Amino acid sequence: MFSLLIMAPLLSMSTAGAASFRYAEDQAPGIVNPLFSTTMGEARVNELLFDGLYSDSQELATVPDLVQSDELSEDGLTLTLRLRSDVSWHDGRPLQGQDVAFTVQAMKEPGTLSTEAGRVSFIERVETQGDSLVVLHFTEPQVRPQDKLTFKILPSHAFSSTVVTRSDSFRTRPLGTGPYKLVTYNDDNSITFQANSEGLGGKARIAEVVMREVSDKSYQAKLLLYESLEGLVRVLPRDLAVLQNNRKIELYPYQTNSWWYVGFNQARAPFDDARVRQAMSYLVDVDALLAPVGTGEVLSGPFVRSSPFYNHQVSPRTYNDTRAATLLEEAGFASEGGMWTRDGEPLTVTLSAHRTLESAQEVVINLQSQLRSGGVTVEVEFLDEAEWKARIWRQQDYDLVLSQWSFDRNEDVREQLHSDGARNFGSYSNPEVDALLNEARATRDPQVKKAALRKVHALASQDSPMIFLWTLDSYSAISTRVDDVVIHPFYFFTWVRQWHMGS
Amino acid sequence: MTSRSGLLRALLRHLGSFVLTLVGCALLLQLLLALAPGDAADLVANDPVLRTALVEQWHLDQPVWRRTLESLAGLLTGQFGESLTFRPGTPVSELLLRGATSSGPLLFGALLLSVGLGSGMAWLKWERGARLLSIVSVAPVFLIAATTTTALNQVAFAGLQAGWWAAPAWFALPVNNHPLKTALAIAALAIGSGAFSEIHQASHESLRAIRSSEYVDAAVARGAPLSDLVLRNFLLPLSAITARRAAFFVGGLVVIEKVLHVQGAGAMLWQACRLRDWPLVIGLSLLAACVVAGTRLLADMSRLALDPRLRGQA
Repeated sequence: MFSLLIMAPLLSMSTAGAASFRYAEDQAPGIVNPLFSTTMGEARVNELLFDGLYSDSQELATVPDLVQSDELSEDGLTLTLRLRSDVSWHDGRPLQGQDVAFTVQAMKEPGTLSTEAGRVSFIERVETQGDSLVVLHFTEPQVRPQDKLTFKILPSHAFSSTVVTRSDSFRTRPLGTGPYKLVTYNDDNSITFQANSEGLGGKARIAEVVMREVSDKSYQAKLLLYESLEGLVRVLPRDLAVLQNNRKIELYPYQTNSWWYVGFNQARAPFDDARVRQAMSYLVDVDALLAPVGTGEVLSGPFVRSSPFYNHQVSPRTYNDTRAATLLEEAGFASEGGMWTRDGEPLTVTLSAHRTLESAQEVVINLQSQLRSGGVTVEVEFLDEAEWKARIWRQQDYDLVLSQWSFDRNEDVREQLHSDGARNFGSYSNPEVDALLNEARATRDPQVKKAALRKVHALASQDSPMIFLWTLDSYSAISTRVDDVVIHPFYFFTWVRQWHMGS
Repeated sequence: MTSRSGLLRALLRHLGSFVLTLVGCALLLQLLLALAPGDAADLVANDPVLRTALVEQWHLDQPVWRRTLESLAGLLTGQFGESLTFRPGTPVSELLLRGATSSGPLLFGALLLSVGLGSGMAWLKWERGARLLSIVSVAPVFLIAATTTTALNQVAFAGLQAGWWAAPAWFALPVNNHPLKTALAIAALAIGSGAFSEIHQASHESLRAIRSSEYVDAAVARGAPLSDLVLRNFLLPLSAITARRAAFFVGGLVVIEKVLHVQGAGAMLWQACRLRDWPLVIGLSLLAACVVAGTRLLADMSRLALDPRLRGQA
């Protein structure tokens, strides 16, 4: 009897998952409402549930999504949109112009406390004419405003006011126009989505998508091998080989607009001296740091190599201890017993890294070793997300940080490099760079923007507010049972409508 | 002093200790949270203006004493506010209920199993089985859970690959919710990290002392039945062991739920700390404190009920 009780659950057969696309997230979305999204996991769920006015084509060009046609005024101050008439919300109500107006107003509304408010700051007001005509009025002339209109549109009828709160019931019963509807939040923190038969371009071909929470990243690949998942959003470098060799799994490489860096706190000595920052960058062998964590491209500035703004005339710095020594001596340091000192004090710095940054441990240990060989003592600390934001972003209490920046298609580095940039926590300041960044943002001429940002690249490389490291090759892994897969490098599910489960 | 008034005084003393434990716990928690680096607003807002607004809205700028009073009021009313970052907007009381529903069976299952196994084997003098389990018991909870999970997955997957069987309903552990996972969690918690060996050892020693005591010798001499006498005296140390172990199991829940992906109060507490969701952390911690202090209170009351001599000492 006892044996039967033990064996019964062991031997009962699984019936789940046959026609579902199951993918893993480290952490289930805390909130399903595009007004309050803060994580990529939430952004991926938004991609399943909602549509934007515009979206990305597979060539990553902006294409209309909910918009039928548009017209930008000659002065670039207004954009008139005609919405598609064949789109309805998951509850069957038609999409209307007032939904667009509501979304923008809710995002801008100070009482909403939306994390996305910055995305609509260039829109002064929204007018609606009839059910499907929307006029957007901008605060300043725009060249390609469509590129910024990819935020998700919300149904005005699901809210009582443009002041939306986090506790609004929408967070558990989201309503969109996207290819999938949210069906259930399950006990195991997974979420089940079902294809929306009224979606744009018809019903998505995969009937069901299930988001599964698998907090242990190293276990996600195992579940894919066990066929308990059909998709992994991002493969860890250490899992690449084993997944590559499995005939039931296909790897999809993609290029992200992300780059790694070692940032200096320039509000603090000795990194307020550009010579010290440059010297440190000469003490780092970037290729040797990159090798253990994967493949990628070494960078010389704040853009990925495929970017039109990347300045190919600027070469990445290579290891040069002689040059580093000269610069440190100019900055007043002297070498004593192989270690650099100034006024009798050894050059000792603390390197802070984000605890969840993949492969950060390997990079930190190797970086520590390289700098130590170069005569710099490095202490190491790993910080969790909240401590990172508080210590690094808000209090600027650090010497060196290892981190990465990720960008959308606009690759706007102003916040990172402008002296009043919200993300310039390293206190970098160069009036020439500020002027060029302002020019790049204000100009309506793409060539002027390109030239300005390439100059920014050169100046940033020279000033070394950070050591620009690399952009990593990224891969998603999908079961070969899923066909016609094309993944979006940032939002993953943008083209999910065309995916389908094979035999 | 009459037996009844002694019992009443003892009851009041233990209740007072229970309340003081909770007040101390609430204060200590608030002090720790005030010292923790970063807060929920840091996680959500990159913009300083938005951060300031969130700090104000979420009362993150209130002094410790005020927050402690609010926590205690929450304990009395069952209202701890709303979750900030774990499940934004969801009432903490709803999440506590959800966590308790998942973790309760694990906690009480593990308590029952460990006490039942440890004391049962000591009572029956089943030395060989106890020795074997004591060896397993040396391993930490997470190691037992992870090893068993891996072994079961590998065996199931090998069979699948060979075409011997279809995928079992529990496959692959631990992400699939299945009774087997619950059983595994209870067993690992009840045996691992020394739980079984400690309970068995304490039971064994108590029983030996009882069996060799003068009052048992006297009962033997009188030819009176022994089982009732031994059991009655054994319940006293057993209740103390159970109460002590409950605190360890509450702590062990965090580990086992994390390893086995159980969406209970322990895993929730881990996430809430990581996400600086202070209302949820307070709610869960005070719930845990209630369970531990409540179990101790219950054990003390049982001892007082079983042994009238203790009432006079109260």
